[in-house]
Amino acid sequence: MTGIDFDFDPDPEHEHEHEHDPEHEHEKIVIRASDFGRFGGLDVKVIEPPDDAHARFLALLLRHEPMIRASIRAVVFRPEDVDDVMQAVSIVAWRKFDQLTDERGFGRWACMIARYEVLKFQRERAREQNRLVLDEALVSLILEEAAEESSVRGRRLALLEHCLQRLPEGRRALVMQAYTPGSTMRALAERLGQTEDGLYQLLRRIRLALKDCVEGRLSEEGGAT
Amino acid sequence: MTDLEWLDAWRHGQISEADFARLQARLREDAGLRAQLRALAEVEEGLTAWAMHPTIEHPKPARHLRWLPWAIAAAACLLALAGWWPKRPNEMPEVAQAAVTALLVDEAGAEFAEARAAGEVRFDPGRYALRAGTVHLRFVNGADLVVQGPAEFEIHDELRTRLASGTVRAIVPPAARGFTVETPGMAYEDVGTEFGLILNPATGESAMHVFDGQVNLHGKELGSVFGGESVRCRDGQIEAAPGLDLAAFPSPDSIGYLRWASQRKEMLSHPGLIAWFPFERQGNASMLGNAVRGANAVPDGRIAGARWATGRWPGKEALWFDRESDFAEIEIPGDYTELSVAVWIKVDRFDRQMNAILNSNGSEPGDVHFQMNRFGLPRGGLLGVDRPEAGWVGDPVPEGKWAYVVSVLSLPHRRHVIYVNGSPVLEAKLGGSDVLIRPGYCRLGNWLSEALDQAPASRALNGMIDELAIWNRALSPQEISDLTERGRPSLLWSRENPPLNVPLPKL
Repeated sequence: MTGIDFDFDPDPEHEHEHEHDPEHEHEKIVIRASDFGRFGGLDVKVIEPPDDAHARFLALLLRHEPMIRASIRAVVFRPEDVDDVMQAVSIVAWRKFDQLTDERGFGRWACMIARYEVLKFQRERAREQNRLVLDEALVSLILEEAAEESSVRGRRLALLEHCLQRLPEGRRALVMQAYTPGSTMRALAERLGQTEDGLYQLLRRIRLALKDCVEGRLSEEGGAT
Repeated sequence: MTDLEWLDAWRHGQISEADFARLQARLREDAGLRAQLRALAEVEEGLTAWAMHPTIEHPKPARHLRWLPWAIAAAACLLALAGWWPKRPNEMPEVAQAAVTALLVDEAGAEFAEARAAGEVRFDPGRYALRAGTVHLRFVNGADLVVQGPAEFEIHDELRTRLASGTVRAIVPPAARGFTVETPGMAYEDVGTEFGLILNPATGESAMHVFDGQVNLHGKELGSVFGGESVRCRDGQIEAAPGLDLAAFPSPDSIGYLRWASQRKEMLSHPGLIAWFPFERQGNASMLGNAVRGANAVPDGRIAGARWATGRWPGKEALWFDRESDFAEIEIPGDYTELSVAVWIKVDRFDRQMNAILNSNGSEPGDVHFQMNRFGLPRGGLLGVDRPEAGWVGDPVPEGKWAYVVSVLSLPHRRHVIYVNGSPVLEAKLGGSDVLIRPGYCRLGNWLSEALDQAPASRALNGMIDELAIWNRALSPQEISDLTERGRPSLLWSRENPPLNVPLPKL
């Protein structure tokens, strides 16, 4: 038996010393007003308002972003497309921020901007993707109605998290895989030894159950309005 | 489908243009449906956000990156378990769950010093004392550890387990390279692929055999041991150990069979059991032996054509039916008012309009039929008794997966129910009649029509059966559920089957 030369550290504590995690570094990135001028291809004239406007805008945008994204998702299905539309919405919102008179109406206002951006997206991109798209009047209507609901949407998203916790662990793991960026139904079905159709149906049941759960909770809390 | 289901189908590209046009018209006229569309979108957006930054299950973000490559294995395990856990969503714990370290894949006669909750398969970091039996654990990185009791061990994390006493076998895939079992004075690090280890707690001496691959040793001395070699370690000193008894190391394949075989006595004392065919090849290979003996017992059967193959586990025998002429024949003499018939079956393909499980020969009043249609939906009943009400209420028997299918006929209750993996799938009400259940000669995996005028379509099964049991009474749903549990191929096997993906056919 020959001795071999390599490092073995029998002390388990050392394993946990490297807590620095590059994956979470993006959380530290600070967006500056001047950054908005750099978004490719868009002719954005960056007005530099006083710093407090910048801070207020960022705070409002961060608070409302999940709600705005959810509204966009009603007619834009792919998360990466929602990213693009959301980016366009934030640029336009920043550009027009000085026109917003009452900041309490930020969510509703941003949803109206989203309506234009979604229509624009649909004209330019969705048809290329060979999707069955709703007509523009209907899309407008859906986003306008979304703007009216904007005040409850945040609460609904919080309830969704609660409902996710009530999902059996296995179902949750499945959802996690299905919604992980880059995952496809076909690959997932193959891995799980299921048919694609069966998997769609299972996910459909989970989605509808989560929606029912959110609505049930909301009505328990005393209504949506 | 409901409007909501259509909405979801459209969102996922599962809709035709005509159906989409209809859905769009519905959306135009119904504000409520538009609100539902937004609610559905909100769920999806919430799920996308959550999948990127989960707040549940993964409380330690620093581990997240390392966890991802194993997500597939762990999620597949969890998914399988979802179908097995009691469905009580209201009782699901609401506390955030820690990431999974290891799961119980299978066990045979396992008794832990600290009682574990029924159905608990998680093995979190901590100490475990296995008093008796054998367990097969799978770590999230894919490493398998089979522990034979009595044994004491402590799981530190997915890569390190400390053994205080007992016998283990570790099977380590590339993703788990570095999986280490520590003993006092020596750590065994598997850099792929399989080793066995015995630790004597009295002397602190350990003996290790590498079945395949390489194991690195870390103690006072360092060393590497390669496939086929054995070593003994005491006080950190390593010496070669030829002649180690390799059969002493437990193997994962043997556990399921061991578990099944250990229930033999219990099964034979099950009340009302008139036949239990465990599918064990006898000296006369064309005999299908009934393990139930006694005055009321069903005689042994005979095998015609069907061939012996491997069943749910290595070591477990099965009959493989894959030709139109294959069958096994048994006789169930006597008249009954109630009858339960249970099989463990794995269907290769549903080739025919009817695919037989167990059918009485011919078509006389009192004959029993037990089969599956082209979709895997179970069918059957009692000839000479009509069914004023009958319908399917569950998911079909799948192809390529072991399933426990049980037919329960009860004349006093006027009911016929067929269960798949413990859940009712066919429910029928039986009409009034003075016909008794009289199965007589029956074919397993086929049907002999005995019709003289025309040859009916074949009902030959294409698949395997490895257990058949018959009771002269109606089993309760709880009993069926317990039997499903006892015979499950592994703990990762799921009771749940994919739903039918076409509209329900006519019964």
